[in-house]
Amino acid sequence: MAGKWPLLLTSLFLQAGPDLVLWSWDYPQDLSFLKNEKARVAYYAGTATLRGQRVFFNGAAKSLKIPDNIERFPVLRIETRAAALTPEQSQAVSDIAMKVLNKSKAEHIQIDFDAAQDERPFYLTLLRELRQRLDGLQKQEKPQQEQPKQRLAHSDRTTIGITSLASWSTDNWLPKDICDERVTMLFSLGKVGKSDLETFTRQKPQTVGIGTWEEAVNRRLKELGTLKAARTIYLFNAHPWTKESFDHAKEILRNN
Amino acid sequence: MKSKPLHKLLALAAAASLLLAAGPAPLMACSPGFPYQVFFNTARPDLPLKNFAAGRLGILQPSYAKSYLVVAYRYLNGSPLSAVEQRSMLRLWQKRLRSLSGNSDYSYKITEDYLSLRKSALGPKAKEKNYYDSSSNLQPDAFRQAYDTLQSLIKSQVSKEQIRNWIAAQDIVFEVAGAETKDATLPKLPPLSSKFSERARQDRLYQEASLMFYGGRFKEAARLYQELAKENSPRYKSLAVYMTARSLANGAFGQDESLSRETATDFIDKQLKQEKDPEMRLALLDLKAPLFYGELSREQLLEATTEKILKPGQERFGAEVGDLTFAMDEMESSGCYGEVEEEKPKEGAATENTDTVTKEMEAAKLEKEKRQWNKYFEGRLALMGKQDLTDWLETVQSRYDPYAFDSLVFQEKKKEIHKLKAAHALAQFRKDKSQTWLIGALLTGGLSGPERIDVKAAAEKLTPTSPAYLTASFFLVDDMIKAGKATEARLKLSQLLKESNQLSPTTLNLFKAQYLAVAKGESDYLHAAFMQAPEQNENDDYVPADWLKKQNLPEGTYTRESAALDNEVASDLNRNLPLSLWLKLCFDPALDAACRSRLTRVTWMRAHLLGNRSAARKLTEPLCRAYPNLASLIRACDSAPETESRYILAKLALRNFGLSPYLASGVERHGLKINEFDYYNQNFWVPMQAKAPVQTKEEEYSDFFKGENEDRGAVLKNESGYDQMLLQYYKTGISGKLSAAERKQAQEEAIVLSRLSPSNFLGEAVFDKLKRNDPHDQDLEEMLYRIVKLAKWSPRTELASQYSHKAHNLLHKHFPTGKWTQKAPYWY
Repeated sequence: MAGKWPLLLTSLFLQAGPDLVLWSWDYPQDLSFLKNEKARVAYYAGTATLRGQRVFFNGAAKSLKIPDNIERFPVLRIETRAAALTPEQSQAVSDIAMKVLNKSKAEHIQIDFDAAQDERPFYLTLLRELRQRLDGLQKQEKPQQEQPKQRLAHSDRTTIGITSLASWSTDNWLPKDICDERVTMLFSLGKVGKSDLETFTRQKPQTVGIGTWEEAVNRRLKELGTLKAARTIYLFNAHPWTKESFDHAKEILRNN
Repeated sequence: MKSKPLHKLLALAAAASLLLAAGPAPLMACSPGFPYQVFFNTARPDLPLKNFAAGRLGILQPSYAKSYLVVAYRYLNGSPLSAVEQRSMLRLWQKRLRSLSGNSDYSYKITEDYLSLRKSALGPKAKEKNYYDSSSNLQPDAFRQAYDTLQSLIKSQVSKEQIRNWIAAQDIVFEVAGAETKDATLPKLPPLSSKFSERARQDRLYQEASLMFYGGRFKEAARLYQELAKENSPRYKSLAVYMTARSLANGAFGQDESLSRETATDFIDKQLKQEKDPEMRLALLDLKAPLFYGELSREQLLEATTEKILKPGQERFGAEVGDLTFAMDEMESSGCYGEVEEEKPKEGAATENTDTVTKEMEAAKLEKEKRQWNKYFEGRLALMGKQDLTDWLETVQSRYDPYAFDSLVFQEKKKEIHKLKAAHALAQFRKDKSQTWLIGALLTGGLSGPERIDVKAAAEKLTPTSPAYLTASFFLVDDMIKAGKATEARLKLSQLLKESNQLSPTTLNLFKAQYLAVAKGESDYLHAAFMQAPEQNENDDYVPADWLKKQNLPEGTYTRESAALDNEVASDLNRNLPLSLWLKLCFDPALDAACRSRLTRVTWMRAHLLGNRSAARKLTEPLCRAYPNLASLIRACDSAPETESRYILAKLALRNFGLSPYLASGVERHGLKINEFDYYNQNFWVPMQAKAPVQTKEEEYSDFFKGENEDRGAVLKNESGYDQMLLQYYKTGISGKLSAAERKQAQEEAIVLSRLSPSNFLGEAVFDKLKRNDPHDQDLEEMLYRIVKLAKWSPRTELASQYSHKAHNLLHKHFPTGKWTQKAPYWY
């Protein structure tokens, strides 16, 4: 009898479909239509821009409306422009991440960045530093704290997610323990070979991000079984979300 | 689908007046920005925009943003812009370009300038924040003002204490400005010392006023700014007057209940009576406009702005255009025209709350969507139809957004509306015979069909002095091409192209594209095929990095990039042009030097791959001149015996990732030099199939699936503008212009090239060198290493993997302890 449980759980999971997360980017967004939907929201909280020796933070200023019952967490975008990538800048970005987290009251933050080859050590340092600061805070927390909603289901600590370019999946520069969630972005792929996508999909990533407008790419991902294998799917829309575009996104995922 | 309340819309219009921000463009997160060439600008005319403002309209496109179409309307309407109007229009466009081109770069530079000056004034030990908050409340000009003040303090040799005091106060002002929430009490600025110079009091008064402004105390800010203005200080007079007006205007927009629109308007009017400086006058008028428009209904707003735009000589012309077009775009929200009522479900029918979605529910949903769109278009067209200008803009403009999601219902409705608009433009033309509606009829329906004979006749009557002439000519030539009248079209195009320097690059390229469809011989065709793009852009900004330099060019001139090919033309030539003609192109004086260098590189490589060493040798010296760093290897390659020559060629190609026998369209390999490694895998070449593969519509939709795209360069393709027409012109191709012998030669060469991948061609050359009992060649170990890596560095293929495996085994066998061997523990 006990042996049937995993099967039952699997079939329940398949029925339930993947966990959907809407990326709510830098637009005025009214997500009221999510009220009766099963989805979470990863909202744009701002961009930290590293230029030369300095760091500038441009916080999100557009209106954002999310129904109270919908879980949400912030996304911090990082951009570099001829940046020195100093330890002080890493400290500054982790300060910003902490500020964003505190303001959001969420227990998960996603860091969004494109790391050129020579920037990779900086991002590894940053992610480790942020982890240490969060762990340090965790130790100070009282044990009887209310269970937060926005943590990843398997985690009992404040978690860090990152967005990851598809190409990073094949060159393994990110250690597995560098973050709690890694979203591989399967849109705006540029001119990559068809075989690269196939190589990548053989790894059966658990968490992927897709663009709502890329019909042909999404269809190919369906054929390759990538969307079926994913437990969490992030959805990116290049315009403000509407009920229609969300329905369209669900249509993409139907029968995947 | 929710409607924006009117006062919010008008507040946005106010923002458009004040900030002149561009409308929202699709946002593309998380993708690296690569350079790409723009052969045809579709959203705006070519830079500098002063040419367009002065009436050089070129070939008008329905995809242009509304502000350009408004200016075109004025010229077509026989009411050219005055010098004042042109200046004010350029002011609007300039600000929009700045905003699109990464306003952030501009503001970061200004911020950086101020912070560096602050640091040098305080000394190296001064405390600095580890990051700086920017906010929409804090505009770059605030830092510019702070920079100017601090610099003048330093120059006027006031005491260090006074400078430190000013900086401490300014830090507080910026802190309050950048804060996301405003505290009930504002912090106090540090007290002034009696030892400070006279200017300290005025500097502090400005800071006190700014503190109030950023802290949202607009009434108090206005009082303090006014107090400063009364002192008639040359440093602050104008600024304080402007900031008083701005504080009053901000307060009047509901941010301070004790301030009214009348107070703000009266103050601005009083200043306008005395003010002579044109920039200051425009700034004050921009503050006043939303105070007036805020009282109007949507219909009144369109009427008021339209009236001002059509009345010649308006000082605030550009900003009025900005307000009208911003309001029209904002009114695109379907909710502006009312929501349709829910139909009551039939008794016993399933409701949306139930778990099962019935066919009836689906049908009802579609029906509701149809009714909603019907209501939207009825309302929208009726509102816009009240003024000829808005009617024309609404009818003519057609934009394509590849990132938008359109439901099937909406797609159908849009097709229907497109037909309706074409019919409407035709009817309007027949009604008033105006040049505006002639162009309206052409842009919406072209000249297709016998029922448009009167449109064609009117287009033919236009003379070169008419602002509509080039647009009408484009459609007339298109009609000739469709009717198979090649000679007639060629003659017309030859006349148009005679003064090509007078044409904007986009207009010239559109005519050249048409020429491709009717060119007589290969030389004629090839001259039209190479186009000079008006600009090269990066990221998703659609604005070149050097836009300001381009904007400052004298009227009547344009910049043009080095000649290159559009995607479809490049594919065609790479496949169907014989080596003899590639060789001829390398020496064609009609092409610029940079283009000839690229051609020489490609042709030299192609000649070697085809085994035609005598052809390659004709290019040895030109290639050495174009790539002096490679000259010794190039010469060695062309003078060595054949087997050694192939090895030297392999060395060159394996170290210079951009050496390819194909000419990429637009910007090749993400703009990298040939010896630079491309982290996005556009290294070496991918053999083209000898015959062009037939693509399905779905494959055409996304570059992602194009098997050959690795050898393409980057060109902006936009499905708005005239792209579908261009594809028809490109279809003719080079083959029809060649002799039978040239065609045969080209086909044979294409077959040979299709079989030569970098792995087998370069791999065999390296293996052969090893076989020739020459393992001690100093570069051989490195070359084997590069063959191992080639499979990883370029789009993966089975063949590349096989060569990687073989090279790996040979590397470890012959050079077991070598430094390159250590770098290749695996094959790919």
